[in-house]
Amino acid sequence: MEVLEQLALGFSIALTPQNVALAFAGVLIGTVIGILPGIGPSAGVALALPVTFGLAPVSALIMLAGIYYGAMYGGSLTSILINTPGESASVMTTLDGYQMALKGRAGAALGIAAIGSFIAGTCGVVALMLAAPPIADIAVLFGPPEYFALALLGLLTLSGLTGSSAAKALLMAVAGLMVATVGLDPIGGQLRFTFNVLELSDGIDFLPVAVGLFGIAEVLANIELPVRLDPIHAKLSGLLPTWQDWLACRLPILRGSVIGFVVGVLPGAGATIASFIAYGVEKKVARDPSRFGQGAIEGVAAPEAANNSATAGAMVPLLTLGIPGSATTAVLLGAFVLYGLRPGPLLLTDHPDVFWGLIASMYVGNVMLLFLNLPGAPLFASLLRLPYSVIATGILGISLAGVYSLQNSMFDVWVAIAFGAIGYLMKRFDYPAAPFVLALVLGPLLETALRQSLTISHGSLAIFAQRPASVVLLAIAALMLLGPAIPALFRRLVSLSRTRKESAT
Amino acid sequence: MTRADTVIGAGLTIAFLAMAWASTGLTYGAEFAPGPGFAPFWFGLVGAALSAYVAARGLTSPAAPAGSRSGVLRLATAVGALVLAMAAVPIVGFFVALCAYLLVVTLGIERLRPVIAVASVGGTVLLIYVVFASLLDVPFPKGPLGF
Repeated sequence: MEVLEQLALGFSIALTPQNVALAFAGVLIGTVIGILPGIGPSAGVALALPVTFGLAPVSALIMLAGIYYGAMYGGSLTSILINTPGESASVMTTLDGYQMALKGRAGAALGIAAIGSFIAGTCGVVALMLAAPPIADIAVLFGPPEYFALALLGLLTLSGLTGSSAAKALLMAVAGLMVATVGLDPIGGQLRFTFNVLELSDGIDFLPVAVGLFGIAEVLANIELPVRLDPIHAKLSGLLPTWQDWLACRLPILRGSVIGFVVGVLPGAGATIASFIAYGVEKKVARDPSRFGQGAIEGVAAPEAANNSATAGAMVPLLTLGIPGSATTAVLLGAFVLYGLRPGPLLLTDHPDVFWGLIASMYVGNVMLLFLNLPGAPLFASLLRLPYSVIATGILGISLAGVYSLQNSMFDVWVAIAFGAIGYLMKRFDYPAAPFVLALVLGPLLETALRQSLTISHGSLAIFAQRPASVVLLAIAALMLLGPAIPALFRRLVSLSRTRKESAT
Repeated sequence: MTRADTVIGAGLTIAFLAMAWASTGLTYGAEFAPGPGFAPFWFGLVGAALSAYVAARGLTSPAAPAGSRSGVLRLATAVGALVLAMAAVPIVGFFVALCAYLLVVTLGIERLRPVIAVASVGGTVLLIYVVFASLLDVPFPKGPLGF
């Protein structure tokens, strides 16, 4: 009953005319960002953040969250129509979605993607609403050792799951932690690595870094290797799925929703991995797996359901523990901090208006997205006819103006340009940006928690082994770090013992 | 991994070691309480170890695919023009510098038709002016033209 009362409070906030308009703006911008290749939800949220500066925190977060989950809807359109995913979470949708479009069923594919996304998105928000309060109740009991373990877990899982090399991802996470130490020491107030530059005394802000790495770097990469989109040949008609389509998709949507939410909750996993798993599960349980990749509608419904449900799942660790599990939620965490809010267990008790207003707005936003995406698909598809250069001017202009407006300082613009160039090199040589940004945001929390823990224990690391929650979290973190290496190590040990036996006989 | 990782890894190893060395000038700890130099020192050492590992792996990897000459030239022009434009902001103002830079990108690099380039740059700059300068009252640096 208490949840329903709180949800009613949330709806009273989310349904004010201003917040409805902002939720609409957020999901519309998110859909456009999802459609346009070359700009992802992380860049979209980072670019939109300065625009929200004059708003109340809850209103700003409603819009920014709308961009995040709206991008998941938009991503399916390019996957289905031109075989090019708008963002990474829509990669699996290309496999069957584009095949359906080639067979003249683009409308049905887009329709089931929108309806599946709506059902999964709504189920995900219900699960978020029910799961978040109990987790927050447990997290209230957390002290510095648990927070250190949580931050470490978030960093290691994201590093283990992004990019092609775990070593490079870890290296980027440590680089982010190092950059996070610039400025005032969070405990003693001593200046570190400022090199007598006054602007560095407050540290390197995450927003210019995120805008540089996700926005400017993306444009630079596309200037070097221009994006060429194939013209759209698919006919967009029959957007409502047939009864047979619906029968075939109802279980894949349900399974995709569950998989998406569970995977989304795990720090570092996120929508892309959720869509891969959901597609794999559908192929496994299908009576005729050979249909997959040839235009099976279940192959569109399941990954689309999973990537939308995962966005709600990813909000659980962010809102209840203050630990973002992905690049976009790391940018959202930065947005909370910029507005003077600290996501975590106390958010529910100290700022219930923000917590429940945001959750209620996600129900509203999902309904908006359904009505926006079904009749609006042909209109959105026409966006793909825009030359990339036109989009690039928008991204560059908003990036530069946005970071300047953060503190009315050209210093931030130079930081964004520097990280744009670094981000280009990172893309060119396959160094993932997400662990860097996550480490930059989590760095102060991780360092403060580590130092507080060691101060409590008089310098003994045993404090991390004395508290059950921290032991469990550190064990999972160790598994995430060493997990991929364990099978190879095991095989090596087996072959070594065989060689020894053979040489002995 | 590619051979380029050897160069990147070696450069990062030096940078991390330099940071770890610089952190020794900060208080490491006192009476069992870690000081401001504690975290940067260890981040520096762990970062140096990881960078050295990446550099070593790069030695036995194939060479990185080379970028096209025209692509690199476009990229260098875009970055160079961006730096010049932002350096000119205190003299000509933010919007004039932004406008000039976006015209370089659309006309000089992307070779858009002049009408489309001017329309897209004009639209972008006008949108930014309305949102940031008018609605959010951001005081952008102004030039002799008053904006």
